[in-house]
Amino acid sequence: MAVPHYHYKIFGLSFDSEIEIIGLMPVNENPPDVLIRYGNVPDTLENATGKGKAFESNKNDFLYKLSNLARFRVQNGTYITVQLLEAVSSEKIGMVLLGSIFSGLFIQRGLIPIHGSAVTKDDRSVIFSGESQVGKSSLAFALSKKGYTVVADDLALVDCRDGESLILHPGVPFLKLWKDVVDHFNLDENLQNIRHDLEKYINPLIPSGNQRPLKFDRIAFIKKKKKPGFSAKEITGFEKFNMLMNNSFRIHFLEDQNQIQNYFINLSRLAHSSKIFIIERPESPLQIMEFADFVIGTILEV
Amino acid sequence: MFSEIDDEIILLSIDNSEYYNLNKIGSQIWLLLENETSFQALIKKLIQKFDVSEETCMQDTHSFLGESVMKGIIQIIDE
Repeated sequence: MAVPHYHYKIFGLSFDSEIEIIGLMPVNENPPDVLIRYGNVPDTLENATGKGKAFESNKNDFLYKLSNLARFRVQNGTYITVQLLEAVSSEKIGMVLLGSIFSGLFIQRGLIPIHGSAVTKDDRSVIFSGESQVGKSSLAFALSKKGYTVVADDLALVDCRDGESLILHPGVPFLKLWKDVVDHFNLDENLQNIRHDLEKYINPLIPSGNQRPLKFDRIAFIKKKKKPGFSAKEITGFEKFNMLMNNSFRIHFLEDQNQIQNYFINLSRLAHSSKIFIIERPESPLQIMEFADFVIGTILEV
Repeated sequence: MFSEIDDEIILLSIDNSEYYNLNKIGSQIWLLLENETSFQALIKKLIQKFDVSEETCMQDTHSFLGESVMKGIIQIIDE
C-alpha cells in the first residue's frame, strides 16, 4: 500500500511529508523545499560539534531525541527523518516538528526563529516576543478582533539573509491560548487542550490563505509589571541585540561554531534594521482589549 | 567578529562564543584599532574626538586595552 503524503506550505517553505501535521492546511506546491520521511535515525552523530541535553549537532546535521519515544534528524536544511521508538500520538509528533525540529531546520537555513506571535494589516507587520505567559498570543488574538491578521504564534520566523529587507514568513494557522484568555472571550469550551498538564488551548484561526512573505520593520517585547498602566519605549544598541538573542526560539540549539557565527551576523542585521520596543502591561487585571488599543496607538499605527 | 548597532560595537569571541558589548568610547577605540596602531597614535585620535585630558584618556584607554587583552579580544604586537 502506498504511503500517504501530506503537502504543506508554512514558514515560507513547501513540505512533502509522510507524517500528518495536525492543524496545518494542505497546500501542494512543487517542488518541495523540505522532505519529511520515516526512517532510521542513529542514536548519536559521528561528527557532532555541539551537544545538549536532548540534541547533537554540527553545521548541517541535527539530531533530536524525544526522550525514548522518538528520534528526529534534520540534514542540510532540506531533509527531516523521523523514527518512532514507541507509539506516539500524531498530535505530539506534529508539535515537536513545529517546535524543536523546525527550529533546527531554520538554523541550518540561516533563518532566525523568534519566540513570539505576529500580526499584519495593510503594509505593517509586527512581531510580539517575550517570555512564556507574558501575553504574546492573547495580544495577537485581541488584535485579530480589531482587524489585524495573525500570521504567527509561538514561533515567528525572520529572514534577513539578503542583508537589506527584513522578511517575516507566516507560521501556524492557530493560536495557543491560556485558559484565562479562553474564558475572557467566552471561546468554545471544546477547544482542543494541548497537553493534559497544561491549561492551554488551541484556537484555530480563519484561514487567511496568506502565505506570502511579509516585510516588517518592528518587534515589540512584552513584559509584565507590578504597577498599573501600560508603557512603551524604544531601545537601541546592544539592548536590541541582547533582547533578540534572549528571545530566540530554542537558542540553546546553537552550539556549532559555524552556526553561531552565522546567527551572530543575521541577528546583528535584524537588530540594525529594525525598530525594537519594550512594552509593559500590568500583571493583572487582564485588560486584553485595552492593551491591544495601547499597542495599536504606540507601535502599530505610528 | 563584530557588528555595529546604533553606534555600539558588539563582539563575538570566536574562541568561547561569548558576546561583549562596548560603550560609545570603547566602540570608537575598537574602530580605531581596525588597522594596527600604536598606543600614542590611538590616544592622539581619541583626544581629538572626545573632550578629555591626555592623562585621563591614557589611564582609561590603558585599562580598557588591558581588559580587552585579558579577554582575548585584542592582541598587543611588538614593534
